[in-house]
Amino acid sequence: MAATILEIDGVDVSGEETPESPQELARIMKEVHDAGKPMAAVGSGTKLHLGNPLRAACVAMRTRRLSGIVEYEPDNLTVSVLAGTPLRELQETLRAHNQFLPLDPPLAERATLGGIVACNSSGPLRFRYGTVRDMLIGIGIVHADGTATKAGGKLVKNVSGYDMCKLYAGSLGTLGIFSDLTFKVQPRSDAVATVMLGYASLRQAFEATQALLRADLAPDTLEALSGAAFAQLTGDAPVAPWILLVRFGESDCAVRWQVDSLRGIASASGGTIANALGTKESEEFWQRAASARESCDSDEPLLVKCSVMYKSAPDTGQFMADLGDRLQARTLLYCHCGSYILYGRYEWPQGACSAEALLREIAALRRYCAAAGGHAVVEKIRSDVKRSLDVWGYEGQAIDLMRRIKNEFDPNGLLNPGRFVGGI
Amino acid sequence: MRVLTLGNLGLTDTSPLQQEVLAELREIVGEGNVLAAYEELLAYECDGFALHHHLPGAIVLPANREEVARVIEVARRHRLPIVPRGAGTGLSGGALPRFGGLVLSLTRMKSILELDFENRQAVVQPGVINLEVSRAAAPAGYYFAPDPSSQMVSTIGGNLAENAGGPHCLKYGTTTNHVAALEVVLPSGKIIELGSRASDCPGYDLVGVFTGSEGTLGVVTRAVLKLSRLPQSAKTLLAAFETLKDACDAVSSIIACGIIPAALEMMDRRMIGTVEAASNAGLPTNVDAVLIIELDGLAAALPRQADRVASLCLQRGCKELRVAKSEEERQAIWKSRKEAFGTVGRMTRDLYLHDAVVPRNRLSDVVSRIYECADRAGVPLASLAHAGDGNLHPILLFDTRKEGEEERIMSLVHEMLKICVDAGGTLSGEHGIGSEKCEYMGMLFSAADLTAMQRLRAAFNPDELCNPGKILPARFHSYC
Repeated sequence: MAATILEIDGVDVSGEETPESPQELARIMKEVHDAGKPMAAVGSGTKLHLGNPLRAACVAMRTRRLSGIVEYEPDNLTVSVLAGTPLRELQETLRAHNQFLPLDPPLAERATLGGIVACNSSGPLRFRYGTVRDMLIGIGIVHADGTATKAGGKLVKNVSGYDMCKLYAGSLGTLGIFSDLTFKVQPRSDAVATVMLGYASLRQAFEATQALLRADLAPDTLEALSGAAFAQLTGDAPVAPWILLVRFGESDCAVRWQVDSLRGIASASGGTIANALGTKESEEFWQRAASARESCDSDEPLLVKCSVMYKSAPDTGQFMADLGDRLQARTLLYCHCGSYILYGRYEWPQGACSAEALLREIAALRRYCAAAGGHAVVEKIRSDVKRSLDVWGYEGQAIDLMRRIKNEFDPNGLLNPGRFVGGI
Repeated sequence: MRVLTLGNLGLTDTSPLQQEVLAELREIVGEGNVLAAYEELLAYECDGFALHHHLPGAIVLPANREEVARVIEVARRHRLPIVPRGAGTGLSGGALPRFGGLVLSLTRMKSILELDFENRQAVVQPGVINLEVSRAAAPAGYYFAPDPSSQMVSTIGGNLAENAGGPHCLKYGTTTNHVAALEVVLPSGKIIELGSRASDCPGYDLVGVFTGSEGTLGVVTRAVLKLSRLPQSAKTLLAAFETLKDACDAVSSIIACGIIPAALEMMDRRMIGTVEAASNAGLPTNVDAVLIIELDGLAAALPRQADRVASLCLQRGCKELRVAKSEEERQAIWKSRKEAFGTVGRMTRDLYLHDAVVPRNRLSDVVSRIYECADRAGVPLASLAHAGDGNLHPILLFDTRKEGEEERIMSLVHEMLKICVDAGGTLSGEHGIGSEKCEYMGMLFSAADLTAMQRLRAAFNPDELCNPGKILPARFHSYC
């Protein structure tokens, strides 16, 4: 983490700055801006693969020294941190008060909050708690010309002016660089349990999730992993073609009631209970599980994220599996069964796949997802192939509006140029 | 009621719209759906914030998005402001036609287009009433979580514009947490889809910025709402306290101990008395404060939570604690709370309703300072609060017929807002800034902060055609 960064996603950097305070961040950004140089925020670098290639060599604006908890008010359930604070460090502080920030993005042991917010990273817990946009309540940001602004506050309810936190969350460093962030946090559950159910098909797993919701169960997570993905995560042999992972977090007796109810639903829905974990084991398991889709053992994998509607989700999973077969890839699938997001990770342990085949299959996947009412984002791909596509695949009608917003905030296009949707 | 105006509102007289414009509008929406007679316009001169009013030039009631787009086209051509409006229950002058022009009433667009339980979504037109969504979804076990007290009449379009809250947003979040996608007509007249029904639409979160934008970025013509599963079980407790301080301390300790109730509401003595007189819900009237505490979720989880909440209340000096024993009793308590604001009219001729929010650990301190401030000024106060959120609704009761009263009240309003802001609070939790609180925005935000907001507006609404003169102070408006 301390090492100097030489390139961002295949593009050399033109310099590196490591501001130590919001004021220094603003001063440096003004200097870089006045020199007409583009810049890119870099936290711990866990998500530098995300986005289109940079259009120009950037000054890397490292946030690693912009780190620390600014104000934690356990009795208001809010916490403010500097943007370069690692999520892990924050969670440790919150844990001492039996609270937590319900975000479990991949590589949470290293990822910084600034990076997580900029990329709108999420994990399985989103089913119960939502995403960054649902918990970010205040922000300090420095815009391209070095102007520092703030929005929101330390309040869980706030309609004083436009909700700028929403604009900046997930904006991938294209509107400004965060200096500090305020979140609402949650109390930790008294007890946690995880039930692992084996299913013959993804469709069966999905149907089971609907059945358990109809039965009033209120899980934290609803994840389905393909047998190979599960095997890779646990080191065990695949126990079934699909494994549904259901986590409950509540009081002791409410967790017990849910686990018992789920047993009944499992047998009625064709599932077999593969394993059940208690509180401590669950926490360890989910820390690994949340990172699984990005803990890669091959050099140049393909990672795609497909969002679709419920009805099409099982078939989308099948399409993603078939795509792996066509590309002769080792295929691992991870599915948020509550929000109908499917991640496909494709690896080529021996030799690479042709660029042409990759582009063809991505195009086919995008058509498939569009027909299923959704979209597909290419999160990771070889840089030579990346130059031939827009990784976001946004085909919606709001692209002009997004360009106008970018232009209002960064008229010279100096912030993370080219990386966002439509080359913003 | 006499009208109180803030210093620099710059209200001007409205002349009736030219016949030519009216003819164009009638051509689009039909003869009966353009209102321009004086007595018709009067009904639209203000919303629920009756202290500001201004006559619109005409009311237009479109039936679909194409008509909305065509009306906006007419407005563009004639440079007439467009003010979108739902049921008109807003409490900050958001639907006030400050500069005349067209009020675009969306109340004819009132269809629930789709209920999709597998995806937990409802697709609705903007004129659909909040409660109707929940009623339609209830047989399948779902509901729309935002529950503003106006939910019997307020529309989804209005809820979106104001990012409406309500008692239960403590646990479930406000409107913005329950929207997946919006179809909107931009001030340019273009119809576009923001966000997507599938999760995590790539690009900026335009649904997030549009929600709560008070009609200044465009007009919603269709919304995809997120439905929530009805809780398996709910328990409502009524806790009475001899002092407001005890009640505030109880709220802070409930939040601090890691319980997030579905709702945590507070009423003061004057409010309790009026509400009880109107509803006979059985509220204890001989105490300074009551808390209505609702816990919901899994039946198996509630008894223990209720015990903890009860013991926290008792530790904080609770004098009487009642748990609703039946669904009827529970509903009666909520009915009294939801109708509370409506009963204030029994106590006063004129009123000013605050909507400030403070951190939950500052409640007791802020509340006592607000009462001191009112006492010093000799202005009676009645108080409601979404206390669990830190959202305070002190209501100043007065009579503007008294000489110098409006200046006195406005200076008191300012003083109270300052107390909240100084405690780390904000101007508005759920009612919006509207025309009412524009000039207070500088208490919270620097010129640079406000310029960032202005930039966002400029990307959507560069000519301020849509709802001009709202949210930002006068110097950020081309119209003012």
